[in-house]
Amino acid sequence: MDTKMNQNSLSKKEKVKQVLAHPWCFRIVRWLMAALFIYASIDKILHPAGFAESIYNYQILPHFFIPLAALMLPWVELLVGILLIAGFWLPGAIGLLNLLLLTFFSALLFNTIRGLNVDCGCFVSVGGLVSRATMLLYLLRDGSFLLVGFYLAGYLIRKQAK
Amino acid sequence: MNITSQVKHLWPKVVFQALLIGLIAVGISLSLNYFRKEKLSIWGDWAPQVQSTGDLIAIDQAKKLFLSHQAVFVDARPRNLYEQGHIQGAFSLPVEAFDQYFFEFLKSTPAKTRIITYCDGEACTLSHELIKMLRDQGYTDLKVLSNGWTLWQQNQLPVEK
Repeated sequence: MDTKMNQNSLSKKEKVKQVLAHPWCFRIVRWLMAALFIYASIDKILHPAGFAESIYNYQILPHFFIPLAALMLPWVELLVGILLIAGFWLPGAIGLLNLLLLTFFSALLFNTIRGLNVDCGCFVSVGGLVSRATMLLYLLRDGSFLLVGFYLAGYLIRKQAK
Repeated sequence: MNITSQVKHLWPKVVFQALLIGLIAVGISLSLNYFRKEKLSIWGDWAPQVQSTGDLIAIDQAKKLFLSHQAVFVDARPRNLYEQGHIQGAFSLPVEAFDQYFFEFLKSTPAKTRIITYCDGEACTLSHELIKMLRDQGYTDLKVLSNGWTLWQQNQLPVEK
């Protein structure tokens, strides 16, 4: 019974590996990430002041750097999205994708640990448990995006290695 | 070829392309910002009280509107804080008891009125929440004076109890 289950789970593992290594899986995941990045960039490009306020609320970047970051970051997101769809400059695009996701995730993690709610830039003592729960939800969300980013990078490296 | 050597091989490509993408993004965003009506000033520090962009209004501009009676100030804090002191002539419309006080506010304030909401502390979100609520009620000319109560006192502008 045990060996049978082991075999089953082994073959399941193999199947997952096979699916993940399939070019279409890579393509579809890439397109989904691209859609996400493009969608996220549009509103920020249209309203840079609102985005500057969000960056300010994270209370990490020095203030003199905020306007430049608020203007530039959404365009990086948009360009990365377009390149991911087109399949052009993939090493650079996927590298930047991971860099951005990693930055967002660590900023969020840093603020969760020090107890700051990034929706308002206020510390959790004000909002209580609810805002801590939202922060954890954001962490979960960004964490799963990061895993997807790692998958894309891993696929690219493996493909080149063959 | 094994994976480690492939990563080494791929690395310069990643950096080069990423830098190029970054440069293009900087180029596009700065030139677009240059031609924009509501541009962000790039070399100034960014803090809510010095920028009049998006939903925010700068203290200097709020002061001008106050002195020329061109805006109605609305206090988003709880009623007891309002009673301890507020901007002269400001309405009290606590977010927590919006429904209770809104009708009174509506009677004296037409939808086209220029409204500036405030609460206290840069991190306070009540004033932002209040303009969302007022927007839902049909008000259109809405601004937030971030950290309003503290800034108002620092600038020694008229207050009342």
